[in-house]
Amino acid sequence: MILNAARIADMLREGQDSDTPDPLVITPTASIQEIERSGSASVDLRLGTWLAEMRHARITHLEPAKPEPEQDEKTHEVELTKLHYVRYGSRYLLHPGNFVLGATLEWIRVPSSLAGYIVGKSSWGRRGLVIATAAGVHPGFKGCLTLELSNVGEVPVALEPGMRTCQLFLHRVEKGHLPQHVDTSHFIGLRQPALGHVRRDAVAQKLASA
Amino acid sequence: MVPADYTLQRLRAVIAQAKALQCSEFPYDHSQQALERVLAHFRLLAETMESLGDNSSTEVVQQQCAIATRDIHVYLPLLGFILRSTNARNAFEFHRPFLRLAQDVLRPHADGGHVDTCLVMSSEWDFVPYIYHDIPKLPGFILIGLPAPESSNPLLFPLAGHELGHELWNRARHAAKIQRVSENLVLDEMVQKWAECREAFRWREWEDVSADATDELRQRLSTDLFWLEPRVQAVWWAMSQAEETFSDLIGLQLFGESFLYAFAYLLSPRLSVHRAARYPNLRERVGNLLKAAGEFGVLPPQDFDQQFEDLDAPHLAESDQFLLDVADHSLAQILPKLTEMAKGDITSANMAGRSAGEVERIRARYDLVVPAENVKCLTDIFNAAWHAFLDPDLWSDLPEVQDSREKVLKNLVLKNMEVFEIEHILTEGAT
Repeated sequence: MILNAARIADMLREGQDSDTPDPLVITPTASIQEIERSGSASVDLRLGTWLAEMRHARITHLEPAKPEPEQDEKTHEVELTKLHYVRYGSRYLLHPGNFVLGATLEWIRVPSSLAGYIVGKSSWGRRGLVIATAAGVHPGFKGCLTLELSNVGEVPVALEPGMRTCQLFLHRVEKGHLPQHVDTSHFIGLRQPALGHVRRDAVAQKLASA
Repeated sequence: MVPADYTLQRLRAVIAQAKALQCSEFPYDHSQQALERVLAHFRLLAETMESLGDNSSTEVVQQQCAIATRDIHVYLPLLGFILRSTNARNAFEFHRPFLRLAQDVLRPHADGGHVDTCLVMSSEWDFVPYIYHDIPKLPGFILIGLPAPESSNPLLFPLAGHELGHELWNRARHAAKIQRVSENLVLDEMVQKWAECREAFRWREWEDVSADATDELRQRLSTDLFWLEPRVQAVWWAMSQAEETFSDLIGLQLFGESFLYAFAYLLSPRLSVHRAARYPNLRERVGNLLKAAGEFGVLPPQDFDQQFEDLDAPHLAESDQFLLDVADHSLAQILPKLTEMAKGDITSANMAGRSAGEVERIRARYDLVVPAENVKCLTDIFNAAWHAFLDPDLWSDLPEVQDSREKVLKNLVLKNMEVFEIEHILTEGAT
C-alpha cells in the first residue's frame, strides 16, 4: 500500500526524534506541513548541487557485461565520469539527447519497513526531461539518491539546484520469515551522484564462458 | 626587442591565461571576483606599458618593467590557486559556513574601507594548510589552501581556523600590541643569561661589566650596534612564534576538541625532521594548546600530548641557537597575554557557542546515518563528527555501512554542512 500524505508526515515527524530507532528522514527541505497540506501520496525531492557526466571524449564504449578492471570505487568513478558542482542560483544546460547523473538535494533515510520509488515530475517530463529510470529505493537506504536525467525533448533544459525534479512514493514492506533485507548497495551514504559497478554474477559468468 | 617589449609580452600572456580561466566553473562568487580583480590589475599594467613611448624616460620604463615583472611573480601563483579552487575535488559545502564564521570573527576588526571578508578555498599540493592574505590587489580576501588528498575530508576543516587566526592577527594589529613586550623580554633574557650569551657569540668585549650589573648590561645591549641584529633576530622569532601560537589558539577556540583531533591527524607524531624556528617546538606547541584548552572550556582528548614528539633542533650556529632559546623563553612569558587576546577576539565576534549537549544530539543523528537539523554552531558538527569517527562501535549494527564507514561519515558530515547552510539561507536569506 502506498503511504498517504498524513502517514508520511507522521513518520517524518517521528523521525525528528532521535529516540525513534528506525526512522524515516528526508532532510533538509521536506516541510511536514506542506506534505500534509498537499495531500499527495508522495514527497517532492529537489535537485542537488552535484552532477556527473560521462567522459565522452575518453570512453570508447560501455560494455556492462564485461568485467570492469579491478579498481577502487573512486578511481572507477573518476575514470568514467566528470563531476560538476552547480552552485545555487546557477544552472547546467542539458541539451537534447544528453544525459547526466544528478543527486537529490535531500539526504534520505528509508526505514527497513518501507521501500519506495522515484518518479519524475510530470511538468518536467512534458518538457522533455526524463528523470530516474532506475527508480527503486530499497528498505534501509541512506544518502542522497542518484538521479538519471535525460533530455529527450527538442530544446535544452536548464537544470538548477534546488528545483523540484522528482517525487518519492513510499510503500510498506511486508514482514516475512526471512531476515529483513536492507539496501547494501554501493550507493549507500553518498552525497554525490555515483555510477556504481555493473558486474557479472555467477550465472552470467557461467553462461558467458559456456 | 627590448626589455619593455618582453615585459609587455609577458603581461599579455598572463592576461590571456587569466581570461582563459574565466571559463572555469566557479563554485562561488569570491573565486570569480578574485580572478576578475587580478585580471583588471594586469590589464592596467599592460595599458600603462603600452602608453610608454619613445619620449618616456628610461627610468620610468625600467621602473614600470620592474613593477610588472614583480607582480607577475606575486600574482601568478594566486591565479593557480584560484584555478584549483574550482576543482571538484574540493568540498564546496564548507565554503559558505566557514565564510560566515570568518566574517563574524573579522568584522569587529574591519577597516573603514574594507567590505566584508571574501574567502577562496582551494586544495593545494602541499601537505600543510596555509593562507595567502594581505594581498594588495585583493583587499579583504583571504585564500586558504588545504592539502589536496584531504581537501574533501571534513574532519580536517577545523585546521582552517588556524589560518583564519593569521588574518585576525593582521587585522587586529596584534603584533603591534606585543612587539615592545617581546623586545623587553628578549633583552631581559639576554641579560639574565649573559655568560651564556657571551660564550655563544664569542664576545670578548665588556670585560669591565659584571654579569650582576644588569642595568648597565641592559643599557649596553640595547644601544650597541653589534647587538642590534641578534636582538632583532630573536624578537622576529619570538613574534613569529607568537603569531603561530595565537593562530593555534584561535583554531582551538573556534573549533574546540575537533581542532585538537585534526591537529593530531595532520601533525602527529611529527611532520618534519627539523624544527622551523618560527614555530615553537611541537611538544611546546601542544603544551600551549593544552594550557589554553582549560581557559576556553575545551576538554582535550586523553593523553593528547603523548601523541607528539619534538622535532630535532634546527641547523643553527651556536649564537643563533642561543637566540632561539631566548625567543622560546619570550613566547612562554607572553602566552597568557596571547590567550587573553584570542579569547577577547572570539568573544567580541559574538557567535553561537559550542555546546556539549548539541554535540550529543548531532552524534545521535549520525548514529542513525542522517544529518542533524537545526544546528546552531558549525563547531558542534565537527565535534560530533570526530566523536563518531573515533568510536570503534560506530554503525557496528548496520552492516550496510560497516565496510565504508569512513566514506559514509565524510559524506554525511559534508551533507550536514549543506543542511546547516540551507537552513540559514531559508531563515536569514542569502548573503
